[in-house]
Amino acid sequence: MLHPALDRPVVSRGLLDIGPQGQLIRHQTSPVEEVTSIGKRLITVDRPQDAYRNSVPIPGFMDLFLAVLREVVEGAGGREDDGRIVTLSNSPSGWTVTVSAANSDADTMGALALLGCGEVLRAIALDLPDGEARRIAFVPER
Amino acid sequence: MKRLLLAFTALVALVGIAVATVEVRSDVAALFGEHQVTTGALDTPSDRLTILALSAADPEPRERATDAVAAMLLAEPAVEAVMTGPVAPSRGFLDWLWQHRFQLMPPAPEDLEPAAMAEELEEARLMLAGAESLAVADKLLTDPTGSFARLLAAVSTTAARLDQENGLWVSKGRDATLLFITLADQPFDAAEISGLADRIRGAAVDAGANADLLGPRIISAEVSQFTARGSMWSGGIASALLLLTLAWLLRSGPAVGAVLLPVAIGVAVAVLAVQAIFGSVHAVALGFGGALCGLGLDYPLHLSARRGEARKQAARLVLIGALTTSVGFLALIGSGVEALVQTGVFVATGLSVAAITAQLLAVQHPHPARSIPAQSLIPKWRHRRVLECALIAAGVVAVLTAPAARPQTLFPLPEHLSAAIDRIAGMIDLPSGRYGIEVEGSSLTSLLEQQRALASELDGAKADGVISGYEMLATVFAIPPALDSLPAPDAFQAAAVAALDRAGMKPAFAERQTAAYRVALDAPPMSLDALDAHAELRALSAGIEATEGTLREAVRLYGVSDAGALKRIAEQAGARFVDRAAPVEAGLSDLRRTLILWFAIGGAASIALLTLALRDFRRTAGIALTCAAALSTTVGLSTLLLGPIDMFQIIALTLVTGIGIDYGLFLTHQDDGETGHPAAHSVALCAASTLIAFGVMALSSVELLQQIGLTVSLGVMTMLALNLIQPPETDRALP
Repeated sequence: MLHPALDRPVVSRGLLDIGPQGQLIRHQTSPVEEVTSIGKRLITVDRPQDAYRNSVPIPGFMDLFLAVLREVVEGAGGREDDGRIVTLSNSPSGWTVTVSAANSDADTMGALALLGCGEVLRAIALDLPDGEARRIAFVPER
Repeated sequence: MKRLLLAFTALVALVGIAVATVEVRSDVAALFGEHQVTTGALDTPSDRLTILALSAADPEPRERATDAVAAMLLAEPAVEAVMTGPVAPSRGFLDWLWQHRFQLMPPAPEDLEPAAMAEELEEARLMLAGAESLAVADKLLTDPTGSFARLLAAVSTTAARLDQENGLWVSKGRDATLLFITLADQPFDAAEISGLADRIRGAAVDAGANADLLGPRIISAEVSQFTARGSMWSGGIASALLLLTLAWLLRSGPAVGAVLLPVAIGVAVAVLAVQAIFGSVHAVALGFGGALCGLGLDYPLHLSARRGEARKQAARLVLIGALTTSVGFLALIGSGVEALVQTGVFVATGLSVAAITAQLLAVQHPHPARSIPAQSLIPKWRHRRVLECALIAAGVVAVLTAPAARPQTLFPLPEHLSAAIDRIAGMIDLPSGRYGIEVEGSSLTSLLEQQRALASELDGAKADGVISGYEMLATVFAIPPALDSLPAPDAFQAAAVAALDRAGMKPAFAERQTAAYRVALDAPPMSLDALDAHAELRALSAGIEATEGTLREAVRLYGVSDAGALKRIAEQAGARFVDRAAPVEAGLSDLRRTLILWFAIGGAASIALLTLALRDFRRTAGIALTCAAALSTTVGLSTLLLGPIDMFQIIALTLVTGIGIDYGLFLTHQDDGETGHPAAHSVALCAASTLIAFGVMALSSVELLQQIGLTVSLGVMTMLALNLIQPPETDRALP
């Protein structure tokens, strides 16, 4: 996570998974251990060691980002009729797939970029207004 | 036969004119006057809010039903919005909160110290790592005062007042999901809202859940439709039974036509007369007046039972009876209550026209009517006047010793609605529908200031157990300070630089923080319209009423245990304590007193007119005593069975008086030798028709109809029994 107020990015590590009820689960191992469960309506954060649990409703403008993330984790791929514009560009360092909402009035967080090389998806990048940026970099499981 | 056809043609024409010209009103103001409690009812935003509880034993069908019903509701034109659970703030709402953060949740001086701001920044940095901060992380870093963070917490705390499960609001017992529906801002239409309620219940059942609904519009619509359906069923059954009985008794189609046409023409003329005089017809006059005009059925029955000279004399008695009853009803004009004045004019016109038409249509029927052996069913007793005096005394004792008056309501709630309200009250803490405290301010700022003063008193009341909680705008938002009390942007920037440095962040970012600080300082004052514009705040803004230059909010009170203490607290805080039920109860109580007074005046005028018409004081006194005994018995029994009589029963008693005078007139008539058995025969026919109509009403599921039906039925039975308990020949000999 990058922000203009910070000298260096905030880095968190963990594992993305699909839960038994189909929820997207983010097992964070550092900087603190926590489990974030993203369901149909809520994002729930659990930090049992701090006895902390918080659920917040999912804002509509996160839908596209969460849908793409879920498809990546499920390995499902996108659909043709899902109301998105997808563009592919190549560069010497690899390929970039940009996903944005087809409806220009849709409330989204902006365009998402899937960065990869060959058959490997390396990262998902989300650039927000005001200089905030988030990168989800995928590393092989050990 | 020719006369009957002409009368039928006239009836069709009158009905045609009525359908084309009559405007029917159902406003409550016509009963109470233009009182603030009733004016504009069901038009405010809070009147359009509805709670829907979907209950099922298992969570799965409950959630399925919630999704299905919510989807169905969103497609309904009568629905503006549906909320099934806490909703994430929209980007527009977040931007609005961001802009107005200093007005809604101003920072305290200590929040502007560099150390405190550094702490806020460190917390914001930690939140960057979490997914839930995606929407707000930048704002949290840009506002080191913590004002925005506290505002978000306050807004989410308000939303979290209800229990939640899987993102859905659930009941306290977690056996029902709760949906909050905002109905569209359209004129209230009882049939449309009632239809919507039926569709909601249907969709819930299809998905395996039960639905309970609660809201002002829903309750009004359901009561209205329930009453209309009940009236239709009662009216239909009573009409069918009446028709069958008349056909069986009179044994001739034209004879039945001659009995029904005068009443029908009377009602049609009454509708047109009321429309012409008042410019519209109130539903109370139409429904209630129409039923009371049923007395007009008696006139042709009396006439058709006689022939020759006897019929001419009966015609005179019919006219006297119609006139005396009309005078009794015209006394309702004295009440000054428009709906009742209309009812008086309606019944007086209807009965007079029915009496005249009955005479024009009176023909000799080929078959004499069947006889009802009423006399043989009534035991004979020579001391009738003693019995009547005893009944009057017993009635008075019953009324005087009756328990305290039941709470006055205009239209009692049907049982299924009361049960639904009780169920929802067990699922969710509902604010008191009766008590509130009104706070006023010339702007949102002054409203919040007034509420803050009240809040400290209410906190004390909560600690003392006077209330279990309260809710108002100030429970979410703080009083905005005079913005010039906050540091100037330059001073803020210096503190922000120090805070960023302390938190290990880039000091240069203070420039952006200062620009955002300046924007918040310069934000335009909040307005009620701005609150309304955001769905997230609509539940709060719905309670605020804007009138010329004034904003007024009724504080929602929970678990009120001591209304008197609350009243004192409100007065101490300069606010107004509101007991919403009190004006309605007082209005109904006044109306009841007025009606009793004018009922008595009308009764006295009827007896005076009867004395003048008969010029026989002893006979009039006898009729009056019998009427008084029957009325006293009816009121006494009704009081014992149902509690103190209400206003519609008082009007029904006017009908009982009219019936009593009619019965007395015919049973004490001796000029033509028809007194005695033939007179008793026609009176028994009339009583049978009246008892069928009002007996069916007494069995209705609608409490209002039940009470009216029972009152008239009791009155008629008592009147009949008293009139037949002693043969008229001997009756005449009595003083």
